[in-house]
Amino acid sequence: MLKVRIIPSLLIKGSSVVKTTKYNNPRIVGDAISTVKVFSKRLADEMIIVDIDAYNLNKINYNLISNFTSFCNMPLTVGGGIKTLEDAKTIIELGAEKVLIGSSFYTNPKLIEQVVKNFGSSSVVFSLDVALDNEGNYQCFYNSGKEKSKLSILEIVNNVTKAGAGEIVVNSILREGTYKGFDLELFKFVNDITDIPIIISCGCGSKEDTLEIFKEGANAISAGSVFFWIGESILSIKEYLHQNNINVRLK
Amino acid sequence: MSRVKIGLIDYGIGNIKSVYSSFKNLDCEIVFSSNPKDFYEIDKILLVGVGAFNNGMRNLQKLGFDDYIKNHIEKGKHIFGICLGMQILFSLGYENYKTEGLDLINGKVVSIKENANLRVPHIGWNNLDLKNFDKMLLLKNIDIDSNFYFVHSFYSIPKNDIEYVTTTYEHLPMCAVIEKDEQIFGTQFHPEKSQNAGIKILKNFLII
Repeated sequence: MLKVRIIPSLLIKGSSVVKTTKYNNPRIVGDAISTVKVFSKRLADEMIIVDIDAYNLNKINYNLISNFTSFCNMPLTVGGGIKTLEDAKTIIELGAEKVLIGSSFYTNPKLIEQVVKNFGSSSVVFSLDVALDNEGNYQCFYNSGKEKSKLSILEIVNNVTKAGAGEIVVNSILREGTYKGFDLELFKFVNDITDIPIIISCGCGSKEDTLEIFKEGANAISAGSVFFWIGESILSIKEYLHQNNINVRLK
Repeated sequence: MSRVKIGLIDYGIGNIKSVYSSFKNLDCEIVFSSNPKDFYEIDKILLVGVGAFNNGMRNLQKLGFDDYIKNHIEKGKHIFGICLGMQILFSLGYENYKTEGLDLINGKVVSIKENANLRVPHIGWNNLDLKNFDKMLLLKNIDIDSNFYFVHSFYSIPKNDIEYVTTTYEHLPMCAVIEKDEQIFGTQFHPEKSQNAGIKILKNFLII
């Protein structure tokens, strides 16, 4: 039976792992290489690594990525600053399984389709950043939440589905780093409008939060802060889920 | 005894680097090339890849690897296909359009969505079913409840003349490990991404 996936998401700034809150105030958590090494020895089911400066600095740190892939024996998704097919190609050739495309979808709408054509759907993960506006409507953002898309969430999800993206990471910006739990409504909303597997992200503050979202039918979650600041480990979360009859990978 | 010499085929399809890194850490010599001429005195071939069946097969033919592989098999040597690499070992694929495969294993590769109406890709960690598990050389000394990393939207259906191990997605059993004549091997999942149990499979292939 297919297991649910617990995916640590690590934000990189320079050579450090950082934690942010609602996409702001990066605080250093540890050294990037040693943190990734630790996670790759644990029971993480995959890992997502995003360089939060790469998009604006226009510079992808290929050396660092190549270092990660040399010891990471689990599927690795790499994001941050991927603007062209060439960028995606270099990262995949360095040994990452998947590239995470977010902001570039808005500035280069053909990119997802191009990467899919060359490397298959399973190599492309779309990152969707969403926040509710004052009227209670979903708005989508890019460039670390700084820019608002003119497209509706429905149009965006339809477009990336059509372009062939293999998965969508659904980020609830206002929950990021807050430990308030996953955004169940947002998860259900996106899950209903697409067939693509969803990784729900942002807000995880406890093992109970993970149980709640899996009971809603999620099959993959991503979390960061909970591992660094709350003291939960991947194993403690998995054991709790297992006791509660959720199918997790224990070996 | 000299070290086993592995030929990893670079046919421009998806992620091959991680397999290369995995074997680099094992006791073998590995040649990674897109030119069959570089594959001198190769003991075992690795055919890895993600992507579409028709593209994969076309690239292999363009580079001249289809004949090279058939010749290698005629000499009684081993091949290990991973993910798309396993699918291409089959007779026919239906991804994008009907394409002939290497035909080393009798059977076809079809769409999960069209045949079973399930969400694709089948992505994540899954265990293997019990049937034939203990007969597989690749699975020697591997715990029955180990999980492996899968990501695919098409699955292989072997004809009845061969034994294989399945994995079950919802209600659909799909070919996950296949062996023929102790010579041709394949896994639908990615051993190189499946942590300890996966590395054991790669080691098992080296000593076969």
